[in-house]
Amino acid sequence: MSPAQHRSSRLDHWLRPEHRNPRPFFEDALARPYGRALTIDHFLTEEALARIDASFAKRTFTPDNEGLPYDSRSSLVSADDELGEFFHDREWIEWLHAALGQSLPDRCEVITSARMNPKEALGFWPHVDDLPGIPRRIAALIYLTPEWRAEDGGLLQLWQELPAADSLGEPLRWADQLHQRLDVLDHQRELYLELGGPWYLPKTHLRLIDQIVPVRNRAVLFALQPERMIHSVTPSRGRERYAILQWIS
Amino acid sequence: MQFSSGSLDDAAFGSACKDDPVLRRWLHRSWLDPRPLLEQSLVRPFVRYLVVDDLLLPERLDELQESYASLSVSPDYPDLNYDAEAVRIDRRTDLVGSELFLHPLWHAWVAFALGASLHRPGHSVVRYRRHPPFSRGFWIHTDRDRRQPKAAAAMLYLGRDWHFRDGGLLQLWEVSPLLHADTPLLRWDDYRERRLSFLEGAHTLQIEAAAIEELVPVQARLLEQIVPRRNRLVLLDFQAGPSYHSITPTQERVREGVVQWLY
Repeated sequence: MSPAQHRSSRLDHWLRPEHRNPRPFFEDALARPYGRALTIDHFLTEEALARIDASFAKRTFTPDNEGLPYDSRSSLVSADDELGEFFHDREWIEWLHAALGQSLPDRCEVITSARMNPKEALGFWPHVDDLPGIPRRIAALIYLTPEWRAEDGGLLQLWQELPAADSLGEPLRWADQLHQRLDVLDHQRELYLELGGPWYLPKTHLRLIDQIVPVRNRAVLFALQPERMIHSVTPSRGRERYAILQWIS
Repeated sequence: MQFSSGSLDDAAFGSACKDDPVLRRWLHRSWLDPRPLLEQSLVRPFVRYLVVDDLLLPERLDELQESYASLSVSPDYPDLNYDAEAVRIDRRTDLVGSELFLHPLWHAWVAFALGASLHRPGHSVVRYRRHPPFSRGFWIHTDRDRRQPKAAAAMLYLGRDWHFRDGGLLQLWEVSPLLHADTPLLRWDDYRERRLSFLEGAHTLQIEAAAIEELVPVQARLLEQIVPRRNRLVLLDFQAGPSYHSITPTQERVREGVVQWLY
């Protein structure tokens, strides 16, 4: 579990020294009541952030939300480009598994994307990342936009699943929300809805647990199994938002 | 939910913190400016709290802990369902940590980060607190107080390599009035001198919460459990809401920290 502390590696250049040991984060992950999720501030070194900024400035972002009530553009990071050097490095993948208490298989698939949400991004409907047929194990997000404020929107919301009750009436429908601004997420702490799809739409009763501001250099890490982590993103108000998003299956 | 922050005064306050010699001597440079923390505090849906990891420079934390090693503690709340030993240290100007804890700009930093306002600036109570081995835990309660309203609590943890299984987790709860109990109500009087094991692993409880000078039957939903990790600061606001919290029982390790109240 504990990494080789004295060996120089890419992790030393990319992660702040106080985060080098994943073990304390695993303890935090165990304590979280609704699934293993970690929020880590001041995550990367200044040197790493400067590299990421330079790489983002060169990238072309294309829509990756076809047929989904999501609103984002992305640029795929390959294993051999200047970001893939770190984000596809075996040691980083090991660190993530150790921090979230996941066992590391011999082979795993890593998808990394540079993401941009436009100024008036509509928000992301509540969903889970490990859909049937896509057995993802880990999701990692690192936010990059400087001086992001609560009033700029784009909050990551975490939800608890409550038992369904007869009094709930009809759920909010996924299909009705396509291309709509999800202002409902800014105002409701309890929702009865079709969980994010498109081919997976169970009726789900939710209550808000927490909201996370996408401040620069904050990492949010999810273990997607065994518990599900239902999450959403509130609409943006006038600022483009940048992040690195990674999925490991 | 609308949030507003980011005035010119905020920028001036951030700069003042970044330039302050006492804060610079104690705090990790990443945390000198509390403005990003305020943004997080504003969006908490039920309890306004913050978790600040790696708060102090490691050498300051070591000095602080060394100076506390000789303190003698006594039972904090005898006969109540809060099992800890403590000693008040806000008049002990000889202790190295007092430079930070008694510093008015530190108080302002805490209040700013939470979005709270201090009605008695400069006044604070600081306690060094230990939970003995196999401590019974802390009942669900608010720190709100009628006589002397608290604005916020700041808790700094000192124990090295604290693990989830060591217990002593800080739990935060969303609390609503209990309309009808469908499980037996957990009663304060039934748990005197008893280990509060029911706190471990529970997501909802029907319990007599310790409100301001009275017990109130509530439905409590667990929001968060925080490991008391070394050099972690937890801030809790008592102005926006009651911020109900509890502490789970410990195993064989001594849980050690500093708690400060601001008014």
